[in-house]
Amino acid sequence: MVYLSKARLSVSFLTCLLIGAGELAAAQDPFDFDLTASESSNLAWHVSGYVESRNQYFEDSNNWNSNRVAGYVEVKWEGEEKAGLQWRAYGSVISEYDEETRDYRDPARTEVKEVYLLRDGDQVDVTIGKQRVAWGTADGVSTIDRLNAVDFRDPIGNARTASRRPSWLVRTEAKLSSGILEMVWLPRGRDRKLPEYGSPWEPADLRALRNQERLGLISLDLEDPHKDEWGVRYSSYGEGIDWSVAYFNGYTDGGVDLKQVGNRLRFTPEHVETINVSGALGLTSSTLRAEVAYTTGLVVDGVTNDIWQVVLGWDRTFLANLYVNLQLFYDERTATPDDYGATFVVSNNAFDDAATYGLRGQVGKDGQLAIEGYFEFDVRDNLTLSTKYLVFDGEAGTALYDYRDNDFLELTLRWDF
Amino acid sequence: MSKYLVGIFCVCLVLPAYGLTGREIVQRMDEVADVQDGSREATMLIERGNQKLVRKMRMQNKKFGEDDRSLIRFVEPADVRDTQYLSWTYDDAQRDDDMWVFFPSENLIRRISGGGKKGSFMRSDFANEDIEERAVDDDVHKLVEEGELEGIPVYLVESTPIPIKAKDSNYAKRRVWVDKARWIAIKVEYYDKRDRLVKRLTQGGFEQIDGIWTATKLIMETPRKKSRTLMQYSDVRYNVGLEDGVFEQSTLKR
Repeated sequence: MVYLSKARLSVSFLTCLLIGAGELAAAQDPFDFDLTASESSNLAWHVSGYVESRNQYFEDSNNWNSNRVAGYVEVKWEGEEKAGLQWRAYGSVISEYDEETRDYRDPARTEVKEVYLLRDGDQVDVTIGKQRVAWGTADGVSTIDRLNAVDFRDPIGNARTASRRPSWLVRTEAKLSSGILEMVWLPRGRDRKLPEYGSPWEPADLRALRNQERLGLISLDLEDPHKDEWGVRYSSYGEGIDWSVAYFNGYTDGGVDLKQVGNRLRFTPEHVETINVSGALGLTSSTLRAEVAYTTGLVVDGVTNDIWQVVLGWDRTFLANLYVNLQLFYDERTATPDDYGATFVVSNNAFDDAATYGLRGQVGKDGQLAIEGYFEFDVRDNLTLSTKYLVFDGEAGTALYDYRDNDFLELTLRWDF
Repeated sequence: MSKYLVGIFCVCLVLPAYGLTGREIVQRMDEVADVQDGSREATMLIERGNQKLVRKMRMQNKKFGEDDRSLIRFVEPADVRDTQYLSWTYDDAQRDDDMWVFFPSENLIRRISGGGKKGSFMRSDFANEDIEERAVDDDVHKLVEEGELEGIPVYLVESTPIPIKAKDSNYAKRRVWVDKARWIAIKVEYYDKRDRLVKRLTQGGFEQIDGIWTATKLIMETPRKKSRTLMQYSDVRYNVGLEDGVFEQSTLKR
């Protein structure tokens, strides 16, 4: 026990009073803060990225499909703007290690995701490098998002959209008074990657051919010839409505033609052309989206088709954060049966918006479905924990049939810096 | 008798010159803050329990006649860096705003609707509707009283959204304490449809920048959540001659 003398007690009491008065004074000035104290100077270089752990457990086969640890770094440089002209550069690299893929893919891999130089001018912008560029107004299924190949080695972006690979390109954007005229040239075409032999994402038909090749029954040539591809788009953004017209001249992505060349079977991306008209109409609380496209030469089930495609979409936020997005699509094909379906998202926030949860996916004819329930939680500013459960189904012969045994539970932990 | 009548007549003539209506006060605030364009850096600190979240962004705005256009570019947190929001806000309350978001990971410009205005702005205590420009006639304004707030002479104005704006708003009314000398709000209380206090905004750090009184520090509190957000503006500049093209979709790039 500590005893205080009267003098010391009175000094302590005075000190307490003074401290208390000081605290009171501080409390009376609620604006005694400076959030800019730690602000960095206006640097031309910016470095950021993330470290992520992603674990996928396949429910049907009771095994881990992926236990991936990834490190992602992006670097951005912005030059000084002079006379309406600015140069910018951007690059991003991902390094991954995934022991579970060792049987069919190198577990340690590093890849340049994007790298490009941008000349941002008054009237014309030019980008040279490797970049992801999304075209179209529809969500889920777009009829003109053709500048980037689907990554068939790890194809699931989420249950309604595929993950795509940035393309090497030269992109020019002319800023017109009424809109933007954009021209994109892919000198080596899209960066197509087929799923590896033995991968759970390998379609059964492709695996059967590869098995035959391994038995010496056939010879396969799966190399992408990397022919150049190009597209042009005019976009207008205005009061109440956006619209665009686009043309793409290139080659198929998922659908490839199998040709016999001498004694070899060759997978050859087929030449396609797509003309697309897209629009987005803003209403008070919702947005209507639509795309119409005509594509020639698209290969479906090994048969070459000309296809009319229509996508109609609607999305709206109810209350504060209840988001609903519904897109209907219909493909009218000249040589194979028509296709139709819908993609959707319903999501909401919880825990003071720290969490987002919902259901998203796609359903189509012949029982095709890919549906995902997900939950994402911001543990801290830069730390995110997310989980999803994704199921696939579809009748034999449909695109999703091959994934029917790939239902998985995924857990991801990501730290951004 | 005639003397009294003349006196009453004179008083009636003089009164309107001194007694401002709620709308006139808000109109005056709008005129005083009337700048052709502006830019600022904004830093937010969200304090919620033990959690502290930091958000940084660059904000630019410009008048286009009676209408406004604004661009917000996020700097932090890292996972939303370079995401940008472009808004075209119309003075005509009957017209819907146009809004687009730019996603840098896909180089995608996407039109979005105003349905999310009630939602939280970057998980802060500010709602999206608190951040956007508000036209004078988006609300009906009523002068409640004149008085003092912490020694500062103020008007207390009650603003009620017009029906077309009310359905996209969290608030049934706002009570605004307006500094009589600087024509700037120093405190705002937000009430829901059951007349319950939802949030409280206190503004401070007043600086006269390029002749415009500006609150550089804001505190938005949500008493029910025991949460508050501090916002601080820096590098505030007005009438810098921002080009129209800054507020076009073609500028939305990483």
